[in-house]
Amino acid sequence: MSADDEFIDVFLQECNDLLDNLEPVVVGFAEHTRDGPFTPGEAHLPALQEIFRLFHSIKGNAAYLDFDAISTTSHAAENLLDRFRKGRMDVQGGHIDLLCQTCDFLRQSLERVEADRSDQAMAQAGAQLTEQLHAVLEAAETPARQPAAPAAAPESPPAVAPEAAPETVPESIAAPVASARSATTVRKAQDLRVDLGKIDSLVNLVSELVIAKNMLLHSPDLRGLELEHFGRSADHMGKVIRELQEVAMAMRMVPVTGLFQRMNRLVLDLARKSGKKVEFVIHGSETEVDKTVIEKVTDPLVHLIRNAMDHGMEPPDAREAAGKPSCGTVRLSAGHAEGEVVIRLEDDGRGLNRERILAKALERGLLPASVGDGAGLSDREVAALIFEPGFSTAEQVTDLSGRGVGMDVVRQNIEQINGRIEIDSQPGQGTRITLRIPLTMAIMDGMLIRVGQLRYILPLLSVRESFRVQAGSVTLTPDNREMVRVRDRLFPILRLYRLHAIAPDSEALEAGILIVLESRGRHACLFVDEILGPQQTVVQGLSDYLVRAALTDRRKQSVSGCTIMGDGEICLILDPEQLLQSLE
Amino acid sequence: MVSETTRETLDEDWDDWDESQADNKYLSFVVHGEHYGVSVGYVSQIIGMRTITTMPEMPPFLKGVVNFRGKVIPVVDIRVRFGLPERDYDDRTCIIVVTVEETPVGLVIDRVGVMVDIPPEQVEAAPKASREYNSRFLQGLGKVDEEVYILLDVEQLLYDEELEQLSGVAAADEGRGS
Repeated sequence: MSADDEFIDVFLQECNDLLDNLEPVVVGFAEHTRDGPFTPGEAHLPALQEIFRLFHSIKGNAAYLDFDAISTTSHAAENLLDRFRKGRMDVQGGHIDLLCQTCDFLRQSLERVEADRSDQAMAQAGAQLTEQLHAVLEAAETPARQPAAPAAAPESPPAVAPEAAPETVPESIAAPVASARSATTVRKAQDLRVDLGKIDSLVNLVSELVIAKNMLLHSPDLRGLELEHFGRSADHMGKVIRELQEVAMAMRMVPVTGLFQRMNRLVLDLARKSGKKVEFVIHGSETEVDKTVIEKVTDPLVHLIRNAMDHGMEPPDAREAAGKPSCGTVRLSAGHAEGEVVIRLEDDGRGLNRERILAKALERGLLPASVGDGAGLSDREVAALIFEPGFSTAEQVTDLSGRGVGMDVVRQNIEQINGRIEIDSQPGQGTRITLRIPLTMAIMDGMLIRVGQLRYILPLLSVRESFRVQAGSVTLTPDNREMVRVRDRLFPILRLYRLHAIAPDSEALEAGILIVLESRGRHACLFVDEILGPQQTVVQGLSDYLVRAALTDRRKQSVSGCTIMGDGEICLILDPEQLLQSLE
Repeated sequence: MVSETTRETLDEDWDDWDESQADNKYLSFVVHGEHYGVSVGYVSQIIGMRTITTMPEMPPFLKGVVNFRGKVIPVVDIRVRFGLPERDYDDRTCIIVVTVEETPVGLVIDRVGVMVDIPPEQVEAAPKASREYNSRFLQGLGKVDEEVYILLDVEQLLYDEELEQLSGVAAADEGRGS
């Protein structure tokens, strides 16, 4: 193949775009087949035309570059669509499956092309799929719906050369295809494709600019000087930089549409495999989130949906017996609230069983000693237990949702991006899982604290309150734990200087301050010398080298990242969850 | 002869170094009276001493982190890594920033020297099976005129399996045998 690499790159981009458009329409169309086969009518025509057009464009692009596996397979799919479009064939669920498979095949082929610059490796898979598509076409042909058709036989056998393809497209459709194409070209003129790497380096540079600005404004050379004009200019610069930062961040934002469409397919797939009837409802798919958030949230969502479908959703007869409609509903929604992205997954299944969760947690030793049998825990706290490592209440292990690994990974992934998971459940009514993720991971609201010479940042999300301890309110338990009373509850005290082996101003609790931390329903009081105030920070992850060199397991490191302060010095960001863990 | 680079010229940028010329070129430095060399291919920059922020839960040779052009990078003290006696940092103490596997790491050294050209035929293999435990970090011994340079294998120095062991052992005592 002599085609230029550049051509192939353009081809890949275009085809990926076409596929991105194609998948949702195909999936959307699957809806109609839920109640069995149907003959497409007027109302379905636009969607069928669209699917036809997209397959046709992919075929055309691929044929141009001699990607035979891609072009032959999409040609076969196109033929099938042609039948639907003309009302010559009923649409069945199986047909849509086949089209979905074709989409998957095309996606894989494009990945191969990206890696190998050829789709040779996909030839066999392509031939198989083409054969299946042809088999469907022939099956529809033989029962003699239209006895005249076989003579015309425009449905070419797999051997047909891709070059011949355009001829099988009747004139009448060729025209709208062409016009639709030019329409997209016009629309594209306003978008610019930029390499993600470039945007990332822009975002990094802006972060560095923020630091550089802070260093400049806090320069020791300026100390003690009265600088009226300088101050005004500095304010102005600060404002411009903040805006620049917002613009740069906005460039990384993408709508969750694609993610939600993938989940749509997953739900349909799972429903079919398990014989459950489910309607999937999507809200707010236009919500924009950081690209990294999409990456990090995909696997957890897959897990949560599998879980909802497997454990939450009942089979149709069980639903009817419980007086619910036989078709269940799974609702996935996204939106922005208070500087956070909120992604919510709701089902109207059987809900969580508090007693069973508690029993299992006790059996697995997942309950901290302080809560006893867990009777005093709130419903939410009990529900949160399903995210503990090693927890699983599935009576049988199924193909759908695995063996109880997973839910803890879900929480880990979400917490990696500083997000939180909330779970609410009503027995018999359903379960609602809410993911709350900061709009951007690069900036965090924190509280600046000091212990001896070291300054730390605590994520404000987990700080509840702070207070000075009064003599006599601390109890020393026989196992040498210090507990302090905060209203009607007792919380353990964690001395940060001891954990990090540094010298504090004072070891006397009365001299410092206690900060109440909460993470995953657990509390502790962190003892520090001083609270320096709130601080917005540009978060940097820990260097890979530090993670590898650390004396403790990376999952137990109590420092989760660092940030550079206005004076150029480094401040460590504490991980409240690991701090609490260190008390166990 | 080795003349010493002065502190004023230290913060020059090394990023523009043409990789093809980097073969045979070593940046020399002194630690505990011995002359060392690291292949310039690894060197990103030489920076003056600055505030090192201590990191908790790290092995002793990992002194902490520094602010390097707005990025937080870890700093390894070569003296501690080699088990040499520690000493206070002075105005000639420097940090050489090396980049391995796209991760920059700072190396604290006593003082920095010049670039030296050591062709392969002047490099002697490091003594194998030496009782000396540090020999694993050596790429060889380079001879230039009367001077001998201990050429460091930066990847070994930073990513020695011992590193994994250090963390592994602390995490699970029953880990490896012995």
